[in-house]
Amino acid sequence: MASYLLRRLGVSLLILLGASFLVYMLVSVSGDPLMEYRASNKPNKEQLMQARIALLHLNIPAPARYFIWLSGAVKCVVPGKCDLGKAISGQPVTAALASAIPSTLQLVTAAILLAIIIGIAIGIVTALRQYSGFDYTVTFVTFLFFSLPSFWVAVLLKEFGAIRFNTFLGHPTIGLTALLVIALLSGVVWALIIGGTWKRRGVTFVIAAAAAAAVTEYLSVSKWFLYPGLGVVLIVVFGVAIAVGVTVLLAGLQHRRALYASLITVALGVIAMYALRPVLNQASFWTIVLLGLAAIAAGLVVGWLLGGYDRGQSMKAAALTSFLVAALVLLDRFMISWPQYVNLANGRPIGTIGAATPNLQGDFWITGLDKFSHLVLPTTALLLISLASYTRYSRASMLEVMGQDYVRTARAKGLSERVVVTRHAFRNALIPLATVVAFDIGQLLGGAVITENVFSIKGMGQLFIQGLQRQDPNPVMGTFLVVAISAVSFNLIADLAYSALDPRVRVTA
Amino acid sequence: MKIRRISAAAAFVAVGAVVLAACSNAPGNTTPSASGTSGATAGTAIGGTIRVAETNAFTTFNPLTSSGNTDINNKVVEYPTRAWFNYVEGPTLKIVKDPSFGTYQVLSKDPLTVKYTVNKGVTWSDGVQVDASDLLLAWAVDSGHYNSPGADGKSGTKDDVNYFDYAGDTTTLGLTSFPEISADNMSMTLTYSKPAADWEIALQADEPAHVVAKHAGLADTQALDDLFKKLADTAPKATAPDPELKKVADFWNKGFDTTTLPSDPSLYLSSGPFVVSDIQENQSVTLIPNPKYTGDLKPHVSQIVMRTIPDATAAIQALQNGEVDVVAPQSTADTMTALKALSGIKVITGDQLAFDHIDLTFNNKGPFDPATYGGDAAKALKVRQAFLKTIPRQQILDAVVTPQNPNAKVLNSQIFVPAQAAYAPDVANNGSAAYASVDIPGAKQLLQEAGVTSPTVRIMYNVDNPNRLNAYTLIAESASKAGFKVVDDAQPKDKWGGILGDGSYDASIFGWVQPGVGVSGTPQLYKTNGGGNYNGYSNPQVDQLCDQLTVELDPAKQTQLQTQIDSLLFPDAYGLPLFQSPGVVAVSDKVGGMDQYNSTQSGVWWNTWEWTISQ
Amino acid sequence: MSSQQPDRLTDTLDSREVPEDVKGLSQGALVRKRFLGHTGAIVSLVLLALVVILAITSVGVGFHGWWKYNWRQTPDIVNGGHPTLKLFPPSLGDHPFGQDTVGRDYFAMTMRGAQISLLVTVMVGVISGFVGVVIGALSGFFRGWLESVLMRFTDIVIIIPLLLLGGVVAYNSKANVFVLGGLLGLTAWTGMARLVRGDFLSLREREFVDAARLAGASNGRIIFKHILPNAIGVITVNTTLLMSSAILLETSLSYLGMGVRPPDTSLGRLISDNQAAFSTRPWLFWWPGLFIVIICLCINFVGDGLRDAFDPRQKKLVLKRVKEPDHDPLLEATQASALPGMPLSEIVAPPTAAGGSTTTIDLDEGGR
Repeated sequence: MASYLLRRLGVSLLILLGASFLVYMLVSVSGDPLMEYRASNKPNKEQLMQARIALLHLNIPAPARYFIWLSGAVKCVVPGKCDLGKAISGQPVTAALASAIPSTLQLVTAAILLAIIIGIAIGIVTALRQYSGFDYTVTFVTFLFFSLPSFWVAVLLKEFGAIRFNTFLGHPTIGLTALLVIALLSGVVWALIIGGTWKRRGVTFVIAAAAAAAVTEYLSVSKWFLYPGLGVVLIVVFGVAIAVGVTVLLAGLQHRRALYASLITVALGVIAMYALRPVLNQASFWTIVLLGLAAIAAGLVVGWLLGGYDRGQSMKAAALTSFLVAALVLLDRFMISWPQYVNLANGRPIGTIGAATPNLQGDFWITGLDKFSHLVLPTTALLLISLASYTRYSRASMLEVMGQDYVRTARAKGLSERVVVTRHAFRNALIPLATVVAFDIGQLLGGAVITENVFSIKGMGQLFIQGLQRQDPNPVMGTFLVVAISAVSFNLIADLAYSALDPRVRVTA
Repeated sequence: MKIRRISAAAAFVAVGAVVLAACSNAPGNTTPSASGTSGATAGTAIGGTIRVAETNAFTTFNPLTSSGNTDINNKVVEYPTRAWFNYVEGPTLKIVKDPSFGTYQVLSKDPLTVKYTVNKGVTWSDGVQVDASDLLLAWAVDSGHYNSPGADGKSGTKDDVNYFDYAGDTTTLGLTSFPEISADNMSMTLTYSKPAADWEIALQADEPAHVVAKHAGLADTQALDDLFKKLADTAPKATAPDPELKKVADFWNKGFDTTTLPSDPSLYLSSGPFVVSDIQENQSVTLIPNPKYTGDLKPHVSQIVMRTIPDATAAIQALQNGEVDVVAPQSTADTMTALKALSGIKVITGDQLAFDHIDLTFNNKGPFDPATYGGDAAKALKVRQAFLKTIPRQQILDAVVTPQNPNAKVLNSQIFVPAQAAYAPDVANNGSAAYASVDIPGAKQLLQEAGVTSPTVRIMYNVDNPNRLNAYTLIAESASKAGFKVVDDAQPKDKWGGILGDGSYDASIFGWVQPGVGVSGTPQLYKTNGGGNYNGYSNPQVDQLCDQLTVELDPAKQTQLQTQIDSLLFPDAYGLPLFQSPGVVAVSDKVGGMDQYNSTQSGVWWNTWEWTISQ
Repeated sequence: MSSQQPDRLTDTLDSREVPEDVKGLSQGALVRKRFLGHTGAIVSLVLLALVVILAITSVGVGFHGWWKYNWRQTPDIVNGGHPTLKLFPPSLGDHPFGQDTVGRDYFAMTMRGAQISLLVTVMVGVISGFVGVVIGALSGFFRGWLESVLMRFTDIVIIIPLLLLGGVVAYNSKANVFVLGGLLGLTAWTGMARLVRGDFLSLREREFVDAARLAGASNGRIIFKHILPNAIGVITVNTTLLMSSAILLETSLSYLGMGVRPPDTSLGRLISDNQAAFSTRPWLFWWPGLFIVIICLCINFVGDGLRDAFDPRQKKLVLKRVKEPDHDPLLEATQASALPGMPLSEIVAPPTAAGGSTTTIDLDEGGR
């Protein structure tokens, strides 16, 4: 194992060397950093050119210049010694990267996570209902999103998700037409998802449409959009639903102790919600992290105490439930601050540019909402685009697994469909996805160039593309280096994960 | 199974209904608890904030250097944070004096002598008095006095000794000798060796001398003054840089560059009504009123936020979404229509000081160069005239400008714009009437007279600018009707500028931006070997008029000379002006103090102290 | 609801297919049958063909098309450039898609844009398909040092940012759309190479390859006659995916000002040029966008259909349907009537690894 790892690391280094050389050459033919001076008629033109030549070592031919760059880049192994050259503005590239990497991470993390979770969920459901109306609809919709040019999606999202939605929030009443559309849509979607005979679809349609209409009308009348909140009742209801759902997935409902453990954590969560209110009002990011960990710990303890014959399962179910209920409480607390935030944002909360409102002063909840309202659109844009591939991959993978012998064996020995799907098929279907996910993350760290551009977020993509457009080689190389390293390491992680997940794959030295 | 599923679905919906009923008191529940925290944070001064969208990102507190001389650095630094003797009033292009900063007076017209005096009590935001040392530093930079052409006596060569990387034009102040500083160190007197037309705008507000001195390792401003004095005579002839002055210049050139708020507040001192309080790298710059400002231009808003939004569509959507209050996107028919459709938005339009034009190349052995026809100037002139006759200027205007400004007219002067009083009389006599409309038969006849058949014309333009592309498309179609063989020499946005003047094209479509104030632009473009004379135009009569123009102090006579030059350009078939570029600014209704379009580089920023915002 | 239709269609086709399968159809015929059964793919293929024909014949390539304008002419602007297309009563009018700022006919421009976008798409598909297959096949078949070298090279190319190539093309202004397509093709093959290599790695260990080798077949014959036909599924599917992402990549490059250079145009160029017209002259934004979506969507669906068609486990569909009857009497009935006399066990039998190899041997014979 160790020797395999060492060998892979060695090869990765060689790949990085080769690729960086190739990219350096490409960058050197993609623009002339002296161009702006060649056209200038400034008296000190010659001197300016000399200064830039000295700054970028332009008097040395590109292949040799690469080694100057490399000798600086190699120092990055030692923290603080990193030298990736300077941009033509004189700013060290490392400084530019230091501000760009966090904004990119902020932008892509949520998008990647959501794309993976939603994509896999959709993919698996469509695989289980292969060639159903639902399958076709989802396939069509995901392909449609995949086929839309990203800046187009972004412009449309801004128009409808921000500008019109904010205007709607000014007077949040839902008209009759909108109500009907929502009801119809919800009816169609549920009828497609639940499927079955025409009769069953019809019933589903009617029930779902009526329910959606009722909910929407209620939200509209009660001014929920102005003063959103879950309240203790909804938290309890959702909490119980989560407890049941988690138990079904992880342990099965017949495992009563797991169910009780989960339900107890829901109760604990609701109590904590009141008990911790003063703490939450003064919360910081780390308080929230600590509380989240505490929630998991509480779940584990409850699960352990109620354990029974399969203590592990109870603990898992209770911990997950507890964590999710904590998330609900958190959400509720954010909603409490919402009206105040809307007021601060002059009644137009959803932002279309940047990652935060400049000079916004407020507590954790206000700044958190500010981040959310600025990142929700770019994240959605990225999510819609990357959803297609995850959906398709997980569908294909699930279909493949469902046809395997061991699934048939599992069915043959009388296991319920739930156990077959969750225990036998689902996990194995995830294995090939590890590679796709790792590869995607590596690529996405390079920044979502277009999304960043349209939403004016200054991340890695912006740094890269502006360097390219301004014929400024060092920022381009800097971003490339970060992306290349992350791509190569995530590739390595993918291979290791693959062998860890699939015992048939052995890493051999 | 089926029944179970349906019942499950029904149960789900039922639960939903119950939940709804239960959560009906949610707003009641949450509102009181929200009020507990709202008092603590709602007190921020958001009401007095004006947010302005700009295309570029802030990079330096010294916008006078060649690398820092981008529009945005000028906008943020020059007007809001630099008080000065005068400023250019945006819409009228008039020079307005600010007596609350100081005064200047012409002591003598021959030789031209000007005395600048700073008022006592005018300070930088760190409390240090603004005095003659600051003026001296400004002069040292703006005059280029200390630069030397080196041993070969020619500037623009490798052995030049240059200190301050000044982006502006040093010609005017280059005519002055080392200034005289008053004993109280509050006045500076400049003496010009020749009359200089643009003397009033030549000296610009600069960085604080005490900060430059300190960071260059000098004891105080006195030491800096002494250094300037010591080198006043030797530096212009030196062949090696003076190490001390080099340090001063190096700090001036690079020391103020930053994309974040420096930890050392002396690097962003202000003498103007505002001072920078925060910078989000590449995203925003925040200005707040300068507490030490004592002048007349007192601010009315408590905060100005400049936000960088490169994408024009994004900027308009941000305005629509209330995230910014002011946008100044590139004016196109679509942005104009989109902006006008917005409610609660005031659209301010005007003409930029830029105009698009087509120039013909005189010195590249192409169809318009007399050398091609063995020096037969008359023949070349006919070919040029023939080509210009095919240019569909009205059609270009209709396609590019009319949708934005229905009253726009074809530009008929190479020097004046319609807003200037001199335009109408100039146009009446400058010979532009010959190209008033497309005349294909006339062009054919001229070509026939010249005995030239289907000359090839390579037209160079910036293909990434839709206006230029549209103009080219229409010109190419029209010129080919008269028998010209038009070759498309489309260049990308980062390349066309470098090609100017290299003789690889026969005609070029691009735009000139006039500084708006001063006359130095005219000789640059039309004098033989002028800095912007890329098409090799040379007319001794024009040269002579240009020389007179640069030393003329009387504005009326300046206009007269410019009119004479213009009426020589059209008969020479120099090229044709096409249209004046329209400009647009869209401002939220809540914003006051922005009513007129400002065509200069500073855009809306020229009167930040007059801005107001209502709630 | 229309969603029920495809179900039935596939069911019946599938059920007809089973007996024929027993008779021993060639893989090609099987794939064709399955593909034809994929409604979405067929509709998409027809639509795509129509778009290609429309784009080529309307404004012509080198010849004069049947449309009265070409994309360079600047006729006078009528009706403010609004589209003249009318659905009731159907009429095209003079400028069905409207006119742009200088009056060029927008239908002609959209068609020209479609030509260029399709060209880039096809170039990327062909070039990267070819390079990817060659590199993947060589490294998968010969293994050893050749594989190490080629795969490391692939790893290098895979991390080269595609946008950088756009920058190179944009800077070198003489580079045209062919260079752009070529360069993108020369860098987009990495995924293909990895997949083909993976396929070759497993195929070369199969019995039929050993058999061919024993029979004295040369390496070339084994590769071209025995292994490649088996990998054709992966190759086709991946090529379609490459092509659909190529058209989007070109759009992104155009948005960043690095794509096809004007005065020539592409669909991506048209929408990014006119994005400011989104709310004022929406037709300048929607028409080319519509064509991008149509082309991209069609290619994706064709790819999806091909994937299913080449997948020997396609029969799983039957398995699924039989598994459900106790929930769904209607389907059970359909199934029963469609498969008279078929013992349940045979249908249920899932396609195992062995089943997969039988199919490939079938194909191999068909190949001979």
